[in-house]
Amino acid sequence: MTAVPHCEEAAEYVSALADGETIPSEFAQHIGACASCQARLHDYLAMGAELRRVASLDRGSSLPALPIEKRRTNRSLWKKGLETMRIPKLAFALLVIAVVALASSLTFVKVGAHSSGSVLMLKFTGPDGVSHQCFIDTTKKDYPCGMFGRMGGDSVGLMFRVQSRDGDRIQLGVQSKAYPIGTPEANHMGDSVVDNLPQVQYSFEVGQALKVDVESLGTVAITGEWTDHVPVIFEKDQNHLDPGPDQVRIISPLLLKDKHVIGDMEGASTWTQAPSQAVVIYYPTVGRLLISAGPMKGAVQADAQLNRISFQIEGETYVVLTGAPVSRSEKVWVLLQPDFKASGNMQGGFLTMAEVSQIAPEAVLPQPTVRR
Amino acid sequence: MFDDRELWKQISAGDAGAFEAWYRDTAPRLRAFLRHLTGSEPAADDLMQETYTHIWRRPQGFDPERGTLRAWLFGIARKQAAEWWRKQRPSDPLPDDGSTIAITETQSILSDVFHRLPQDERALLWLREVEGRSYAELAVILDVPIGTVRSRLFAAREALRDVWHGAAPMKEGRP
Repeated sequence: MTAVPHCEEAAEYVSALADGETIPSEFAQHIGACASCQARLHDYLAMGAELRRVASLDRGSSLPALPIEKRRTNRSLWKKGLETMRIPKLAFALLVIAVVALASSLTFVKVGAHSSGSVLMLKFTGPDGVSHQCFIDTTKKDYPCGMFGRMGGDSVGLMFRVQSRDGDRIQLGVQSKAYPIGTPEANHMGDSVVDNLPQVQYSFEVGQALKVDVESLGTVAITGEWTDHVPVIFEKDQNHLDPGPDQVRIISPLLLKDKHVIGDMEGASTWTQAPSQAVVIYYPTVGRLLISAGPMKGAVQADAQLNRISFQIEGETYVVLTGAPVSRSEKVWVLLQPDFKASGNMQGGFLTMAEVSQIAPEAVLPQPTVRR
Repeated sequence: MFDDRELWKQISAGDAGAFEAWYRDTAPRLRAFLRHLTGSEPAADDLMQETYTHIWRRPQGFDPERGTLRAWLFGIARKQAAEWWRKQRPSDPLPDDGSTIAITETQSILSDVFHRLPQDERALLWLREVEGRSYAELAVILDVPIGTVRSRLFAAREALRDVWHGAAPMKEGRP
């Protein structure tokens, strides 16, 4: 036998009733017969109506304009790069993703310890011995830097933030995660993963080494130097505008179709080092674009002049504009795959590079037979 | 009216025109929500701009399977407002720059009482009563189970009703 509910027990269901929800029958019976509960229901409904009335009075002044012409942030180029540099699953094993962070002999001025340099260059070296770099402008609010990419056999996400500074002593917040390559989690490493991690605080003296343990990966050694600015272009082993042999270099690409912008990958950069590789750009509304120094099956030959690649596909004229010269050669090959759909957190677009044979084996041309 | 998936695809691809149209469509109600959450017009305008620029700069996180774009927008704005409240020192008076929402004759005692509720309860009641968000959407916005939405709504209504009837001492309009 069910106990007869009291008003206190029924009160929550009165609220649910006011919201148009159905409620258990015993409470419905009680409310139907109880003047106190009906008064409560009346009050709830009246309060809701009054709030809506007040809200209706509140549609006054004109809206301010939003500064949204360009998708631009005041965060680091690296951070911006992170947002668009997503990793297609098929290409992951080959990914050389630390591209943006891998600066080397860049032409920024190292101002040394005990100076007024405001940009912190962090150099971090994983257990595989490979070093990476990123930059934090300490004069700006929320200016993180870090990397998503491969360290040894792991897919790693690292993010650094300067919490406070006292001379060369800084409080460094570190978010880190590593998954072994081949696990499903490794395919989805990105800022959506790292942003949700707890931030571990370290006291760090610029000029001295700091060791950070990353679970499952091992120790990452960190050093820092003050510099005078964040370099405009981060690129491995190259500090000039001339691309390397067989290189296709894409920096912050903008895709135009018949003079209209149809895709923007602001802040992201990558490059190839061999004709067997391709830069891969995915815009959700366009599809996947492979750009290579070598020919591909189904690809069109494109003109590569300074910072633009021009080509035609099915009568439409396309131009890829980038932030620096693209290639030594005046010709590159472009393959557009409009039906390609990215999955998971890559759906918003990505820029990366990969071996063509791994991501699009159907586009690999047969090797010419050599007659003896 | 916008198709959420199509619109989100456009915004994610950097279509400023689509974003601007969405802003024009949704901003008036979002601003009203933030004004009643903060009690300050300049703060509401700042938070509204921060909310939209945040979405424009980081077009991630919206999942059409979990709710509508509008519910997701209000969820982000609610978090921005909560953060704003956290940064206000407890001893700070509400902004007294003439911008504090005036309770005019055209408004009501209930509106005054509403502003004295804690920020969480105000947000919940507004989203339910004015924006008409479903329990499922509120669960996503607040990141709580649906059962918790029901109990919190009840608690918020009771708090408002108590103050409205003068049956309980007025609480400070602080979280």
